[in-house]
Amino acid sequence: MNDKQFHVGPEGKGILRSLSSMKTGLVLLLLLGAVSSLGSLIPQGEQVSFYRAHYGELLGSFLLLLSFDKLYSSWWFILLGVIFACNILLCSMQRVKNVKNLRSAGSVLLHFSILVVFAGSLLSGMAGKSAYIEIDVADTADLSTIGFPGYHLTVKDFKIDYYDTWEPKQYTSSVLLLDAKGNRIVDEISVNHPLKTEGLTIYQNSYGWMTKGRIIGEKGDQPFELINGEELKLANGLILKILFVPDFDPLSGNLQSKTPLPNNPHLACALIKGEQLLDVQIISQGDTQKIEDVTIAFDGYRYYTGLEVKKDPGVKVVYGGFFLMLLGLACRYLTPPPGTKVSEVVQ
Amino acid sequence: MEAHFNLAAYTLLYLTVITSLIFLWKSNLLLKKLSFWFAALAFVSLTLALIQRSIASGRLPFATMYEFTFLFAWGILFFILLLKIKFSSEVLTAIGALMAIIIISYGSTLPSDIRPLMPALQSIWLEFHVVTAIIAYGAFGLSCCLGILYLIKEKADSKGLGQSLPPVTKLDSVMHWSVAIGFPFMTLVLITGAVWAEEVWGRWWSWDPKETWALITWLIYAGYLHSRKTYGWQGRKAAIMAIVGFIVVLFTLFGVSLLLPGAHSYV
Ligand code: HEM
Repeated sequence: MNDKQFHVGPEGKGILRSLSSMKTGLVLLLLLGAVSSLGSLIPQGEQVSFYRAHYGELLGSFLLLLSFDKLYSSWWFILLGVIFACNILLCSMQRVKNVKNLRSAGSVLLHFSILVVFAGSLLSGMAGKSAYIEIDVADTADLSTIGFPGYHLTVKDFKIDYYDTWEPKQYTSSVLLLDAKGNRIVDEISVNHPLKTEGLTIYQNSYGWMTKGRIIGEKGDQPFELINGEELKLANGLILKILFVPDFDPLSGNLQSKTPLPNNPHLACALIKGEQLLDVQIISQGDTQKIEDVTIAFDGYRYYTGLEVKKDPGVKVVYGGFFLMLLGLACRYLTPPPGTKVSEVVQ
Repeated sequence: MEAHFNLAAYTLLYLTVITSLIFLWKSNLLLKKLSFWFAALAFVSLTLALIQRSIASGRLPFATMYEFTFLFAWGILFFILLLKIKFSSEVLTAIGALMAIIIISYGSTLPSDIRPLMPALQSIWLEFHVVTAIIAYGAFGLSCCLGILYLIKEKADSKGLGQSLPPVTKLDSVMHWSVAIGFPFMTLVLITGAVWAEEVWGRWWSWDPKETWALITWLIYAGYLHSRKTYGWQGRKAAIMAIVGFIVVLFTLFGVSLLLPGAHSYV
């Protein structure tokens, strides 16, 4: 174990010296841990009023002043990270001179890789962006609306595979992506299998039912498209709330779907005024029903798919850092300490 | 079948603790052998239970908190038995078996139904992530046991429990050895988790409580390895760090799931 000599402190005095000392590094290490834990104990990203209500006027304001509501992206947390990175950099630079064997090279590489991961995450924070979008099956979305100009995404199909127990096994969207240069990419996106193109990555995130119908009036029909569970405001303070039942069970008559498949699609419609539930009717597809004074037609349904669209140049850097880290770990821990005889290793 | 193997493992672990304690009170070669073989058989039963579960579910037992808790106990027993190669101590066997008993008892209160893999878990990264976590946590469990032994030995070098223990320097170096095994694997848990999170959620790091506490665990053991060189923190201080580190491991695994909601929380 002659690693010890690599940790001997640098020459000289002042800030640079203390910044490059391992004692400072150790303090920073534990400080970062302590601060990170705070971020998991204090709820992040809530409304301003939440903190005042939860922690009292004084403590709440204090937490907000120091950005404890967005701790991991606050200036002082990032500064702490930068100082830590400088510490690792200075420490490693001194040790590079003293690298004598694969083992000590591995250790330096390991430290250096942390810097690469850190740089990658800063790059992600500055240049990366991601946005969520819901697209109905057969529709095309212009991705410039969510910040990715030049891209158009068409969802050709969406399907769910089930286990025997009707628990979902996989969600898959079949898509066509068109970029600004006119390149067409046809692919399937499922959970754990995102679509990766040169610039964009698109992830399967969620899904749901979209229903289509009409309010029938004397002066003509008012069409609607509602996501399952949504409400529609009608005239006179009335609210229409819908629930899609894909596999309605006429025997029990309750709103619990027998299976998740659209074997017997029905739309349950509730008419609400203020707090009061006026009436509920269940309409089969293609039918029309009167609820109080409102006549509703249930025309059709389709899936929508929820996709996360992302562009993040930092990820490649981070992965590069991971690769170096693995290489460093292998050199550091898989090579025997210098001076060990082979017989000892076998033992 | 699985339940039978688990019950057998549980009983054998109790027998391990009892025989080790009797041995400490009245040393006898037969008791020494018995306590080792009880522990080894408990390990075999636990392995069989896990194999049985894999056969019944048609996949490796990596997908629920129940399954991971039993794997966790399995990993700790594995390292306790592995250490027999370095030295044998009945106190270590007893403490390790007791740790496994507590973890298995907690595991038994969790829902044990066999569930198919949900979409997020259908990834090759599940295997790498969980296997590295078992090894890292097993090694950290061992270093915690050694930390406890160290404190016992330091308090009572030549009387009572301390009498049967190897010298403190030996305990310290073996404790360092087990942290030095756990640490690279913990690094791998973080890397495989991050790559997986990038594939499944589209974010390699999102400060989810489980991730955050995994990072804190990693920082603590990094602190253990570095303070040894900088401050010369060996022995007592290192022993306390190994114990604290493992308490944080337990919090990351159980506390976070119970107390801090997040994307990981059903784990
Ligand atoms: C203390 C460390 C950790 C342990 C013991 C741990 C354990 C596990 C286990 C047992 C699973 C398996 C599946 C399950 O039961 O849900 C899992 C899933 C997962 N872990 Fe970890 N993990 C740790 C840290 C991390 C970190 C640091 C990350 C990311 C940076 C991460 C990312 C993931 C992802 C993405 C999944 C799967 C998807 C999901 O749960 O929805 N894990 N983890």
